[in-house]
Amino acid sequence: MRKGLFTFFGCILAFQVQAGVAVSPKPYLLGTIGGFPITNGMLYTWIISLAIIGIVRWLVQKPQLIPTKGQVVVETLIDNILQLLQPIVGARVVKQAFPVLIGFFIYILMQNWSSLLPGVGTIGKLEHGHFTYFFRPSNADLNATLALAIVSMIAWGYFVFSYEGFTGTIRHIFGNKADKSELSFGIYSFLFFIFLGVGLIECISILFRLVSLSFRLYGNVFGGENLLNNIMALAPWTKYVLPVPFYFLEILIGVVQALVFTLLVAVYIGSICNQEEEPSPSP
Amino acid sequence: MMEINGIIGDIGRGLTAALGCLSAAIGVALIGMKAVEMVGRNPGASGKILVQAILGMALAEAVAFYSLFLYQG
Amino acid sequence: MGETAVTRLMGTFGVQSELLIAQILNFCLVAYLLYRFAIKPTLKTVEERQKKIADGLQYAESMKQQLAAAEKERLQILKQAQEEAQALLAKATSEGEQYWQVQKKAADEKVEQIVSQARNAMEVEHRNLLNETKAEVSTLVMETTERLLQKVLTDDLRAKLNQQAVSLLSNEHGTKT
Repeated sequence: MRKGLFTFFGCILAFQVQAGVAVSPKPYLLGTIGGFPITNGMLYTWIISLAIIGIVRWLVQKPQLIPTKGQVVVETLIDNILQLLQPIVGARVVKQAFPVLIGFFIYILMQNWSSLLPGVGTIGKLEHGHFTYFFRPSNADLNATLALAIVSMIAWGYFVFSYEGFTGTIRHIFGNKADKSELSFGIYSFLFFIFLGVGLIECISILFRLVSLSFRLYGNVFGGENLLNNIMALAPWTKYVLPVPFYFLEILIGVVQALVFTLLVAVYIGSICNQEEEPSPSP
Repeated sequence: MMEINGIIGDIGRGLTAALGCLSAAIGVALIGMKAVEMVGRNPGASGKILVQAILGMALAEAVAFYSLFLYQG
Repeated sequence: MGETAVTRLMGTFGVQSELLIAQILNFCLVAYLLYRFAIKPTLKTVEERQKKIADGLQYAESMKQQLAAAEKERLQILKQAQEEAQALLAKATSEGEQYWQVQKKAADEKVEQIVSQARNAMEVEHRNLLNETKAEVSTLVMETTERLLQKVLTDDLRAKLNQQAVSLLSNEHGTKT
């Protein structure tokens, strides 16, 4: 008991020490279980994952025709996201792609918002002047965001290949999109080389999506964490007031980044699968 | 890495980060400006424009993160 | 750039294959559980509710139509009944009128008949009475005169008087009738 109390005050002290020191770009190793490294990011990811499942289950409970308040929250969320994604992904694929996309949205949103809870990055232990905290925001760990990007790219590949087929995908990336009737044969056949180059560039950009998706999310959350930390340490007398608007900013960024991730994956899927309907932007 | 009067620093890192963030900020600003303009012209399409603008902003913003994180000194 | 740069980058951000795989599995599990136990039932419920609402609206619409039809029918029946009643009333009125007319006519005839009968009877009686009276008066006068004349008058005078009385009587009778 006494030791626990001591640790608690040690944490507060540690927070005082920690404030102002730039947040480490990589998670700390807390220990290993059977050779598997447990980092603070991984630990918090597991905690929040359990919380997400618990909260959403608790909100929905047993879905009823006359919805409870929690059910209305979840229904509204799901319905709005569905309405948003439908024109982007296309009505053909949206049924299959929706589970993974809504999963991305809820997961990233909850992880982002939970990183603003008190105790994240502040509860830990102080050893040899080095502060090790137990809870690191999941998305401030490149492992998590890279994992999300990899899952999204695997899902993208699955949807694209199952709806377009291998040759369809190849034709979509490398194919000659010029109008045959408007051009002479020489220029048309010459354009094949141009479009081959374009396809190569597109391949690289597709590979680079992995980097851009993961670093965008990581950068935003990690940057936000750094921002809050530094604002907190700006001056001792502004410590309790000044960070408040930045916390609101981080709440906003949490939603926007979750939405951006989901929308980008939707656009990537829709840019190949959604051809019959109105053309969607293909970045 | 370069050394001036015994102070060791990496000008390249700072410059990359600064220029990357500047360009990202300009890009986001342009997108925001155009988005506001478009909403002013056609308020009915604000939902669609919001989605497009957020996507564009995310893509422009990514430049800042590349310049911040991918610098190999 | 190259293999070393990538590994260095991964080292800077603490990317480890075990953690990466753990995160992937974690996300997949969360997404699956969310979809399986929260989102799918919710979507199903929403669909069910929409269906139910649509059914309810349709039912209400059909009920409305039925109600309108029933109302129309009711009005029609009412109208028909009114018309029938009107016709019946008119018929009854006319029949009554006719009956009344007939009855009145019959009564009038009867009255007429009775009156004329009565008048005839009265006439006959009057005539009889008058004749009787006439006869009686004449005999009475004759007797009185005879008695008187037997006492006072001479035969001559008696004849004169008789004649005068007869002429007077006949005269009087003639003016009276």
